[in-house]
Amino acid sequence: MKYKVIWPLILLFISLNLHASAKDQTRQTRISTNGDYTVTVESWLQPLRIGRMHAWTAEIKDAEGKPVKNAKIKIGGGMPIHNHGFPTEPIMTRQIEPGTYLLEGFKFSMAGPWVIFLDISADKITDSVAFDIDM
Amino acid sequence: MTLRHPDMLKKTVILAAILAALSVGAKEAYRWHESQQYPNPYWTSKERLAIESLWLDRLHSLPEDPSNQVADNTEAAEFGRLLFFDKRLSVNGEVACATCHDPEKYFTDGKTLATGIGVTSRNSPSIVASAYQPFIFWDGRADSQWAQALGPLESDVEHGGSRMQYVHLIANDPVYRKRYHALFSAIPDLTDTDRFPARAGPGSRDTDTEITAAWQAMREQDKKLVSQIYANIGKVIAAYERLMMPAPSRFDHYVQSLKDNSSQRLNILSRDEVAGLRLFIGKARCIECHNGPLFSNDSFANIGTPTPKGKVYDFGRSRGALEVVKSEFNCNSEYSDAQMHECSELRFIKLVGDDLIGAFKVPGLRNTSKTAPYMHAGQLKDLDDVMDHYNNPPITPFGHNMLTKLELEPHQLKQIIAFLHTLDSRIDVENHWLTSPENDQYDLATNR
Repeated sequence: MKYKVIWPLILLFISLNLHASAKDQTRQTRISTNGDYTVTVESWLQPLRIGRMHAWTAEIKDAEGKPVKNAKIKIGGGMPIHNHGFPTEPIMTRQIEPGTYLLEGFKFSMAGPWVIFLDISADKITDSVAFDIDM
Repeated sequence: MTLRHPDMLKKTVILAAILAALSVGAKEAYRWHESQQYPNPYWTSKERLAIESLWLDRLHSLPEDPSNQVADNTEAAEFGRLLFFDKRLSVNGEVACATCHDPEKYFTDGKTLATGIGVTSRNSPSIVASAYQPFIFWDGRADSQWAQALGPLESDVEHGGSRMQYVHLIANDPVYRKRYHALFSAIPDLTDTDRFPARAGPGSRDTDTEITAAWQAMREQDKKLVSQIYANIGKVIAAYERLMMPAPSRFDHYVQSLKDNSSQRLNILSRDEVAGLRLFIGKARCIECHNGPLFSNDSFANIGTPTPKGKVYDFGRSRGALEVVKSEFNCNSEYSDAQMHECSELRFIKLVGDDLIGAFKVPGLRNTSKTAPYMHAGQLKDLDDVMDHYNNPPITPFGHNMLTKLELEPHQLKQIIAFLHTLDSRIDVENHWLTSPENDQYDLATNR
């Protein structure tokens, strides 16, 4: 009898935690527009902070799950609702290990919805991916 | 006690419910009574987070300035204080840093445009808390306090002098010479006027051609020697300016009371001031750019401020960004004490973009009531004008205006102004640092 009461509570607890982890913005995975790349970005600074310089790593895998080496990454984004970009010029500074890249120079200057665009080119395949950040 | 009889149990439950209701009712009645005595508004958890994000207690520790090795040296700050008030640091002996940055006026001057030897094109911003700013000047054309300090000294319309003149002053004044030696190194012999003329410097746009000609005639190594001493003048002035921080204001005490759940102390803000705070973090959207404990995101924004009559359009940050990158005194320069990797603001600076055109520094709002007139060219004479500007922003001729119509009522604009006054406070240093050293008694032997 008592298990009937406990199980829904346990399920509720798990679902709330899953929801919380889904909201974690400091590590996100997205598939690129044409499905060529699976990209996981992770912020070095946690939690994200308004007005501070942020660096992210971007782990890029191809459709078969293999690391995408020696990619070129062009970074864009900003606050579409305010029609402005980042206050800084973030760039990909280096490949930390095969398929993992360091993106530096991100600053979020105000609260609200931001977006990070990555245009990724490797082996003649170019595809783009977007990450939403709610500051 | 056991309650086996159903009636007894029922009565007890009813009694407990009545007592609970009376207790809750009394508590609510007391709260209502309290709320009539002073404003104790209900803040949602989101609003509380926003309010706490503005609290001075949340300010992170003063960022290091790796480009200035004497930034946190008290002796350097004292030397900087002497220089800050010294009118000999000008071509005519009448202009000091304190001329435009008067401690009595929160380190501003109350004028529309900064006025030294001539009249500049910009309003004098405060230096308080500028140690937190990655870029200084309205257009951010300096990336440190020391680099900023050197600009006006050689500007024709501000101090009007040249770096050679100032370096001679340090070399010839016994107090300055001794202090310089203690902090950096002995000043070499500069008495050879062929090598080190009385006045010489690279100058700005319209500088006296005699000064620039004399500079061009100097040997490269002598120029570097003089520029290094000149950079160090900026660094001691920066060590002084770095001390200037706002003290907690009534607003901060209010947040403390919120944190402590000390409802009785929430009356530190009036109803209008609280209403102004609600607008500031809500409908008026001020907090979008004026965020954090210093009420600035340290960024640049085009807000469509009108160009003063007879003046050309000021492109602001789009020029300032290019200037700081090529500045001879920036974080990457040979006169900086920083390593290249420590200059991240310069490394990731945005140089091109629609959002840089006509954009100016978002100023902090602590003590803003003391710094009229407002905007980069002092176009708006008081806070009423500022509110009207934000409520009905004009169309900007160039770039992208960040503002949209707010459609606030006149009484709401007054409430925001009332809130801004809750940010008034003193400067958080001993009075010694805010007063001119003219009356100080110095002992040469001890430098005190």
